[in-house]
This record gives sequence, C-alpha cells and structure tokens, in this order.
Amino acid sequence: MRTMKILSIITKGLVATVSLAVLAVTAGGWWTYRTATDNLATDDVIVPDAQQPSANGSPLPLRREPRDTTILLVGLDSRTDDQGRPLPKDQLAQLQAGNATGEQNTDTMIVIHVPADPTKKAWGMSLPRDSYVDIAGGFGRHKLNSAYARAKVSAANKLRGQGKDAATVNREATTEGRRNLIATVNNLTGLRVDHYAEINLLGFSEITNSVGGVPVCLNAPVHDLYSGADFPAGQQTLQGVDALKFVRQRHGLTNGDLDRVRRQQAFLAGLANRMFSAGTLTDPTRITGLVNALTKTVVLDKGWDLLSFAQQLGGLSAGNIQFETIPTGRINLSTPSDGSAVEVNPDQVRQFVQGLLDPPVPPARGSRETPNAKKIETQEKVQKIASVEPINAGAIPCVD
Amino acid sequence: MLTSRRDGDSGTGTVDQRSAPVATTRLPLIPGWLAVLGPGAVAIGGLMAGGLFFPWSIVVGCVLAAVFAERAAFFAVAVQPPLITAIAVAGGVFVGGQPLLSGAAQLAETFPYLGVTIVAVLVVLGVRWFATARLEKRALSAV
Repeated sequence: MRTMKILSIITKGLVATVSLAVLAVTAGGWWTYRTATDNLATDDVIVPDAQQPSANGSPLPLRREPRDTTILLVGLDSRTDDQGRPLPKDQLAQLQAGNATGEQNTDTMIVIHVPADPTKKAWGMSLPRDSYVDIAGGFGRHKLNSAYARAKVSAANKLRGQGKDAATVNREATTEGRRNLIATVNNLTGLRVDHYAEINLLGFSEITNSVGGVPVCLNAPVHDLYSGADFPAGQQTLQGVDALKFVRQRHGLTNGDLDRVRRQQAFLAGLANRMFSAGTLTDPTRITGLVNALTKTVVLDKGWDLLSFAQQLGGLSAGNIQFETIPTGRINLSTPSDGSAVEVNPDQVRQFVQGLLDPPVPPARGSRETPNAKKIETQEKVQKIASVEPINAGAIPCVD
Repeated sequence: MLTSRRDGDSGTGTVDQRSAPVATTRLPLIPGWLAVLGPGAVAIGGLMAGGLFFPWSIVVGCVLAAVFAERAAFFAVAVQPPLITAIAVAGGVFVGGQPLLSGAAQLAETFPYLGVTIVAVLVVLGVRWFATARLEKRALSAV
C-alpha cells in the first residue's frame, strides 16, 4: 500500500516535470521567435494596391496559405548598419569599401520569385544597375540604381522644408527612396513586388559567415586591386570579406557590371545550393543562426512572415532555382546626363518575365521550336550579350 | 483536505455520500479518462482543422476538462495542456508528415494560448477545490 503511494507520487512528479519541461521549451521557442521578429529592422515600404481590398476581414489564420512570393533583393553600397549608424573605420577598412561616393546607389537589384507550387521553378532575375529606364515618381529616364537616391533626396528636401528633425527626415526619406525603387521595378517588370529585402556590405559579409561560407567557382584566376579580389581558378568556398570581394569585382571583367551580375548570380546559386543541400532550412538550430545574422543586418518590409517564407523555401530544391538577367541591349548606350548606360527595352523585359512565370511547355526533343520560337529567338539573342545561359543552383556554376 | 473529505464520507454514512457531490458541484462530472482523452481528441481535431483552430482547441478542451473533471482527475487535468499540445504537434510531424520546422513553429506560436490555458485550468481547479472543501465543511457542520 505504501509502495503504491510512493510510486504514485513519483509518477505524478515525473509527469509534472515533463509537462513543465514541454512548457519551458514552448516558451523558449516562442521567445526566440518573438525576439527575432522584434529585432528585425523593418520599413513600411510595400504600398498596397489601390484596387485590391487591403485585407480580408475573415479571422486571421495563424499561418497563411502559401502563394507565389515576389521579393526585391537590394544590395546597397551603404556604409551604415541597418539602424542607420555609420560603421566604424576599422570595419570599413576591412570591407575594402573604398571611398564613399554614390553610397546611396542600389548597386545590386535582384527580383526573386518563389512559386507557391514547389514543383515549379523558383527564379532570380538580376536588374543591371546601369539599366536605362523610366524612374517612377516623375524623375524621367535614368539609370535604375538612382531610383532610390533620387526619391530619397527629393523627399528629404521636402521634409526638411517642413521643419522636421534630421532623424525623421532621414527615416522618412529612406522609406520614400525604397518605395520609389519598388515602384520603378514594378513598372519595368510588370511584376508586383510583395516583399523587400535590403542588405549592405557588412550584412552581406555576416550572412556568409553564418552559413559557414558559400561555394563558388572561377573560370580563371583573378587579381583586382579595386575590390581586392585575388582568387585562384576553380572551386572554392568564400565567406565574409572574401565573399564580398567576389561579388563586388567589376574591373578586369569583359562586360564590367554585367559580368559582376553573373558573379552575384553564381554566388546566390552557391548560397542556395549550400542551404538546400545541407538542409539548412529544415534544421531549427541553423535557422536560428541565420535568423540572428539576418536580424542584425538586413532591412525588410513590414509584415513579412519569415517562418512561412522559410517553409515555402524548404519545399524547394536547389536544382529548381535559376538565375537570369533581364534582356539588355547595348551596354554602352550614351545618355544625356548619366554617362554610359545599359539599354533596356521594357516590353522585352515584361515578355521575358512572362516567359519565366509561365514557362513554355518543356520541349520534347531538346529543341526550342515552340509555337513562338521567333519571340524566344530574339530574346535569346539579346540575352546573350548579358549572359550566356541561366545559372542553375543545382550545381556550383563556374563564372568569369 | 483529502483526508478531511474521506473522514466526512466514511463518518457520516450514505446520506452524506450522496449529498456531498450534489451540493459541491451540481455539475455532471466526467470520469478521469474522458477528462484526458476528450481534450486530446479536441486538440487533434483542431490540428486537422488548422490555423487558429489548433490553439483554441487546446484552450477550449483543457478548460472544459477542468470544469467537468471529477476530483480524482484533477492532477491529470492540471498537467495535461502542455503534454496534449506537444503530443498533438509531434503526431502531426511524425504521423501526419508535417515538416519539422512547421511543427516547431506551431509549438512556439501556441505558447501564448498554452499559457492562458494553464492559468485558466489552474484557476478553475483551484476554485473548485476550495469550493468543494468549503461546502464539505458546511455539510459536515450541518450534520
């Protein structure tokens, strides 16, 4: 009788302990999730469509159904951290950031499209920074990488005129700059950007560290004093400052910035390969590390449910991700006030995007003789100037 | 308290044995197994329904169990909310084929509801416990 009682007490104690432990784990998970979400630098940059009802009134489901997601990934040459504080000198020197001319330019712009259906291809599409396009907000035709800075400067002047303090002016003008860039990209591509991610030099370097380096491959050895890139040919794993040099080198490459775009695509392909092959996105501890790096260094739009997005990514495989560049014309188009720019035909870009969204039925015998072969042919011809063929993340692509 | 009830039951005979539960609750009590399996089943239903149904199924199932459970099941009812949550989510991952990350996220997101549930369950059980004790004392003194 007495042993029964003792046994019962022990059992109850054990059960209560397990219950408490589960509760503690849940609380810990919730706390991590919350801090990650709270520490994330966000900005209200996605302007809802006027025609669409803003939000459906039905009770908020905990987790939205996955749908196609279009993200604008922006690399900013800024020398500040994500909270807008200037970086210390030693860090700048380490990054080989160089002098700070044009640091408000968005020098890397990649539209990433992740389909809701994991069997469909996800793609990244680079928009060369020198693309000569219509800038939204009535700024006229200029280089794409100035869309952000132009709107920011104009908004800052207006806000300063209203007598706002410096911090407010900077914050609101930056939001305006981001919105203008998004609007410009929407106009150019015909897509609707759902989410925005902005990263600067330091952030990029930290993220590559958090995933333990990114595999890349070079066709030939490079030695460039401007970016500090000094790499042998062949496959190698880069992280931190070296990774930064790899994606920043432009001098000494045949097509200058367009070749740098290829570098960036190859790098992202390597990153995707690393994440999906190593199961980074399905491993909660790795996710935590990545989220920590991200919260420190990127600016995202408000209201991006990253967990849902991570899950959506988790359904992808590296072989199903592909990187391309928008079709471009002449790469030395002379312009009235912006020097030499890259010629871009918006109609061609939209057609190209449509082709990516609804890929033509896979050709049966390896030929591209589809009904609209003529269209594709012209596209390809133009595309070849910029890049030889799409970079697929299934393997580590070797680039110049 | 437990002993005092026993004393009361055994000491006052059949009349009190019948009147005590009626006086204490006036509620139709459910047996211990139902107080555990019931919320479990509700939680599984909520998990299958998805979205906010899951955390609310935990809240509703466990609080109802606390309201209606017979006194012998109080301990089980008090400790069950986290266990039911964990078992349901784990079942969703290992049996239902849900991605692990999704399960972890679900567990983390349920925490606020789970906290509310536990507090509510403990309050209900506490109120019932003391109310029973008081009523018994009154019944005892009446005799």
